[in-house]
Amino acid sequence: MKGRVLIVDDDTALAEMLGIVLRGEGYEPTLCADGDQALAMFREHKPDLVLLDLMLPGTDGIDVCRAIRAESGVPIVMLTAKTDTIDVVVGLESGADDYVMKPFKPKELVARIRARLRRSEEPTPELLEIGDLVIDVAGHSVKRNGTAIGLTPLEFDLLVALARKPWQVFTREVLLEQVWGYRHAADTRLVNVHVQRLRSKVERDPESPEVVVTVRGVGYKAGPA
Amino acid sequence: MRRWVRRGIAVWRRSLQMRVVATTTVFSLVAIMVLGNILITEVRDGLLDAKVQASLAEASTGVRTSQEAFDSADRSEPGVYDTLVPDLVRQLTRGGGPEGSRDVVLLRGPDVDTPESPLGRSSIGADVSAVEPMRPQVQTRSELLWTYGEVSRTSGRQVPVVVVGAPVVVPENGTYELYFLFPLDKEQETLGLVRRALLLAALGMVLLVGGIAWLVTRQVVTPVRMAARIAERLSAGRLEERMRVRGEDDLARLAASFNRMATSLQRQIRQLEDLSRVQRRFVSDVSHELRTPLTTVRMAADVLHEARSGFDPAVERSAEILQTQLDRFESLLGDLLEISRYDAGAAHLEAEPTDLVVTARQVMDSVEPLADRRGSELRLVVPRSGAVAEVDSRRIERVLRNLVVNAIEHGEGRPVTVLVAGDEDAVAVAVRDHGVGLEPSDITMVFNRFWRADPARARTTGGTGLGLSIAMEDAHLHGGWLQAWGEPGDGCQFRLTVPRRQGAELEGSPIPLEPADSARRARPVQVGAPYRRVGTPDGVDA
Amino acid sequence: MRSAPQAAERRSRWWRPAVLLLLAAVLPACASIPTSGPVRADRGLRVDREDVAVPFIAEGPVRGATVTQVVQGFLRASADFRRDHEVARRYLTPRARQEWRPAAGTTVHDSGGGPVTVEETGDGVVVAGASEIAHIDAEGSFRRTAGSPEVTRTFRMERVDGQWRIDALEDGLLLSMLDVEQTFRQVSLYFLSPLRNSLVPDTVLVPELPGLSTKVVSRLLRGPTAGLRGSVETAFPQGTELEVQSVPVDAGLAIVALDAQARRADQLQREQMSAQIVWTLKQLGPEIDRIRITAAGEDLAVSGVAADQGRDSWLTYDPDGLAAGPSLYAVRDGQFGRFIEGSFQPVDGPAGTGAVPLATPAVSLDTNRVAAVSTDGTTLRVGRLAEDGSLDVVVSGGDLSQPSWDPDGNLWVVDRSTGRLLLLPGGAGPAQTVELPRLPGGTPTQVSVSRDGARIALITGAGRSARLVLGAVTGVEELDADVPAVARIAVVDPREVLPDLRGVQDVAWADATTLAVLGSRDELPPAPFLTSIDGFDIVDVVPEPELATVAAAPPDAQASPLVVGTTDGELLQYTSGRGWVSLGEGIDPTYPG
Repeated sequence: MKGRVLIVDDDTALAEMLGIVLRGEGYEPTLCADGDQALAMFREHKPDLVLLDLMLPGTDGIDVCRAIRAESGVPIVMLTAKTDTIDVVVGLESGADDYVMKPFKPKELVARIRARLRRSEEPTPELLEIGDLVIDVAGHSVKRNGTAIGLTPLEFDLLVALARKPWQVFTREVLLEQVWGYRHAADTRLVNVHVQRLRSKVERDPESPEVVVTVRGVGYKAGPA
Repeated sequence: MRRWVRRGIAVWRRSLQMRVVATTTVFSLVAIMVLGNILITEVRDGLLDAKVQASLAEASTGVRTSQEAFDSADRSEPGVYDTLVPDLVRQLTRGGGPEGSRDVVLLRGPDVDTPESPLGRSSIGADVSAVEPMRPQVQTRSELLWTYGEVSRTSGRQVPVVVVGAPVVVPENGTYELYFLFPLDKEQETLGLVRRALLLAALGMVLLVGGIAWLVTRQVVTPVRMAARIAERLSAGRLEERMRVRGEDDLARLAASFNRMATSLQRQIRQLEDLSRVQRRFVSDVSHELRTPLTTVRMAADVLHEARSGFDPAVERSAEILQTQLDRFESLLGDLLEISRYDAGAAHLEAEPTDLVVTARQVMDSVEPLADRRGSELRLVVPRSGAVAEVDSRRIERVLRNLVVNAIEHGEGRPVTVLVAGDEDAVAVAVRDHGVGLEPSDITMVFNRFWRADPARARTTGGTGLGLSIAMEDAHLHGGWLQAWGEPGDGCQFRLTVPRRQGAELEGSPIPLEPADSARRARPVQVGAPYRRVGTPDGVDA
Repeated sequence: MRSAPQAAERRSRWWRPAVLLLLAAVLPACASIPTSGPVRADRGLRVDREDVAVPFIAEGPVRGATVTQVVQGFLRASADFRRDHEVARRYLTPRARQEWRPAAGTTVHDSGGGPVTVEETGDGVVVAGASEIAHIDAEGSFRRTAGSPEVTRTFRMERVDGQWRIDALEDGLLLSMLDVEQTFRQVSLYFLSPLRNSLVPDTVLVPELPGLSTKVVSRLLRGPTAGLRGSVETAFPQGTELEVQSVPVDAGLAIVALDAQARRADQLQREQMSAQIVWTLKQLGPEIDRIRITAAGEDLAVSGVAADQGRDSWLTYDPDGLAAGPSLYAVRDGQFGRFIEGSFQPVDGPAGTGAVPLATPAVSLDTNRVAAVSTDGTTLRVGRLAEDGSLDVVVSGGDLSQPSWDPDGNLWVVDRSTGRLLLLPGGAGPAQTVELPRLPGGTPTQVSVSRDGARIALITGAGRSARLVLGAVTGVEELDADVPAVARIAVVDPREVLPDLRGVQDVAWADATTLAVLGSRDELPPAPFLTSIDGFDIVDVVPEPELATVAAAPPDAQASPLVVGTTDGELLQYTSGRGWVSLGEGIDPTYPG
């Protein structure tokens, strides 16, 4: 078993098809057609990843996303037909780690899911410092002055990616490739939104960041240790 | 200096109030000047008339006195005139007034030839030259004659005078000429005083009139300016702005009608907006509604495609066709949605400084496989310093990919050159191919939706037929240009030009539209340029 | 892009106000005081000029005249005073023309217009001869010459451009009496008496030419002639002159423009100056009606008088000092009385009673007092003409002449026995002897002081050789009854008015410049006549035999009062047109003074 995937989609045909494909790839899909029941299903099944359609009857996909994120750092991949920036950004800001635009190819979706699930497979004992933060890679924890800061796995990966090479400036594309696993250039808004979220958690003053520093015109780098 | 003049002219052209005030001031100045001139002339005439009359009266008395004095002189006394003449001249000079109030000149007439005659001398200090023009007439006419003249004082000052002359008979000697010179310096002073006072009054008057004109025009111009400001705001989209209606005068009526017009406009715009919103909603809904089943179909087709090897050959082929047509359907749907977003005005620019060289290189990398398939060699010419501009890299990349793919597809296997260049204000990317080229009449058409150069070859190549249209929209969204050049048999060149800073206006491109290696310098045809950013693209297809 | 026509239009709109502005800025420059212009006529200049008649216009030399003709022409032309004898000077060589001073004096001869003897004595010298009867000095004072001496004038001749001209000659003129009478006019210059309360005329002859007003005023300013110097005063501050050497008379107004010196005069002086000028000018004729005196161009302020002073101003300074129409006084039957309306009325007081027989009375100028001599001529009495008056003896002894009052109330009388002239200050004793120079004809026998007190007429000698001598009185201002200052009073400059006059019986002052004389001229029988004090002007009255005394008063509009007393004791008054008319019985007629 590669992992449990909770599929939250009201379109039963698509959900079923997703189930078929994921099962074909070796995952264990669980279907949920109603936003109202999504949280309950999540708690019941404890999936390793959630596939979430933004447009749901009942509770909105955004709300579901927020609710899940409030309880867990489990990776959430959004399915969306909306390409408008606002929708995507709202989805990302509400806690989604990645999104897949309809219509998507099954392989692309599988690649996304695989990328999100990959990290847990390689625990390397490592201790990194970025700014005044101490990152225990293996322990999957971030501490400032001994106080732990709760980060989602994606945020953690983003922070670790920056902290491992504090001398390097990462373009958004590089970050997309390293953290999200994109082969080709994709929507850099993913990076922007997650950097903002990361900052809101790790920075003393998100307005003048010290941990994740913006390099204008290029991208981001780790702040001085 | 010239800057000030130009600025003055600009203010003159722009400000009605300024123009009215200036015109009123100038015309009142002219009127006051003319009136003042008349007034001064009147004053001067009055002064002169009084002075002349007084002078004539004095001179008349003086002449009479002199005549009597000569008549009553003691003729038995030897050398009587030796003392009488200077004494008389002194007495006349004094004239009962303060010293210097007049000069007296007594000259020997031409009929007096006796050399021992003691006359012919003038009073001390008198400038005799002023009387010269009168002498011939005084000698021949037994009248009191007068004229204006000028004498120089010992101080060197020139003083205007009234010269009065008359003949005087000196018994047993002959006729002499007696001249009185009455200085007009007092009158000159008075006139100067009056002139100064008038000038001050005129200045005050002009300022006053100017001020009044300013106030009056302000009453008219302020509402007009307000209307202009409101109209500007309306055109900027703040449709709820209205003029204040005060009173019941013409301006109030103007404001009221203006407001009515604004309301009407607002209503229509709202209607249009509503329509647009409905449309957008519709498109969005369609997209969602279409995409979800499409996704399902795509996944199902994929599953079928994966499993095709186990199928009947006909079914296997069908699965393949299903797969490819689904790809096409997908990209067509994507382009349609993109275009519809532009049409709905829903496109947003997320600009940040981007090096177009990097973007171009990425695009070249991504289309390398296609170029290999077509046998086209891809060349990239870039400036050493890079070409950073504030652009939405996603859109620019799409534009470039579109252009390069286009060039490869129409390049007939010949090399395709991508040229990146930048100057101070703009960055340009030109994509040159050496394919069949374009008819000049077609140049205007290439950006049309679903336009194809050769209908006969329709559908044989890839693409949806919307690529260049979207590219054009993207270029416009940046405030940039997308222009085409082509010659049949000489290939084409597409040039994208974007300003380095968003919001700046393009004035030129760092790359000439016609490529340097064109067969002949054809007349460049600019399409859709220059372009101002507007909410909704209109008629740029032409 | 703007199109070109629009731009052009805008430009043209721009220029319009600019041009107007420029125009307006330039225009006011025109309204300034002009410094040139056409000659304009104001009004006709018709000054009423009538060239005043000139008494004599001479002719210049004719070509080819002989030396004697030239000299005769010169002598004739000498009477032409115009332009300083311009015509006469034409007879002179240029050198002589420069040197000759005609104003040095005039010798008057008696040729009566007849030819002066002119003879050529050779060597280009011509001598003219005539008998002199009078002389006018440089100041214009006329004096008769006694004995008609022969005078000659020598002229040295020279040819100038072939014409004879006089190259050397004596200064002065040689004129006949007729010429003098024609070309001269006698005028009085009025000065002040020593007490400065009345005017004293100084008679001079001036050529009668236009500008007489100027002449008299300038002469007045120059001061009195030699004969009166010391006897009269002038009110003009030292150095006062005419500002302009001309006193124009226009429409009855004479303007006397004095220089700034005149302003130094105080109020009294100004009054006296005015009196001098007014009296001096008004004698020139009625055409002078008003006189304006200015000093340095401003009216000379005299308190109480208008700027234009009438000719009747300053009558109080009348040299005659008499009220108009004075009464004639005389003695009838020893009573002293006066004629009122032609009838004799004895005066109030003792003099009119005849209690004390009186002769040769004299009435003071204020007619308050009378002085008379006793019939035997030994006592002089003075009394007030009033009921309660008395006749007091002030001088007794000697042979006293008729007394004479001066304007200051002093009494003058001659004591024939001693030949002394006595003066009684204030009409009372003691008598002081007046110092006399040597008089022609011996000691005085009769005295008459002019009513201005400046002159004294004396008769010297007695009988047929009696002569008339006129002198000036000096030192009167010192006279004070309380302070004896006898030596100061003197008679100076005695002269015979008419050298040929003999047998002078009586003399009386008609007015300040005229004497009424009873005497015989040119060996003729004694007859009354009037003569000016310089003897120039003599008016004969119809002779009447057996006349003894004469009395006269200033002439007025009605008559010239002239009364004589016959040896028979009858009084005769000369009435114009009717000759002598009897006033009835009476002796020793007299007018006040």
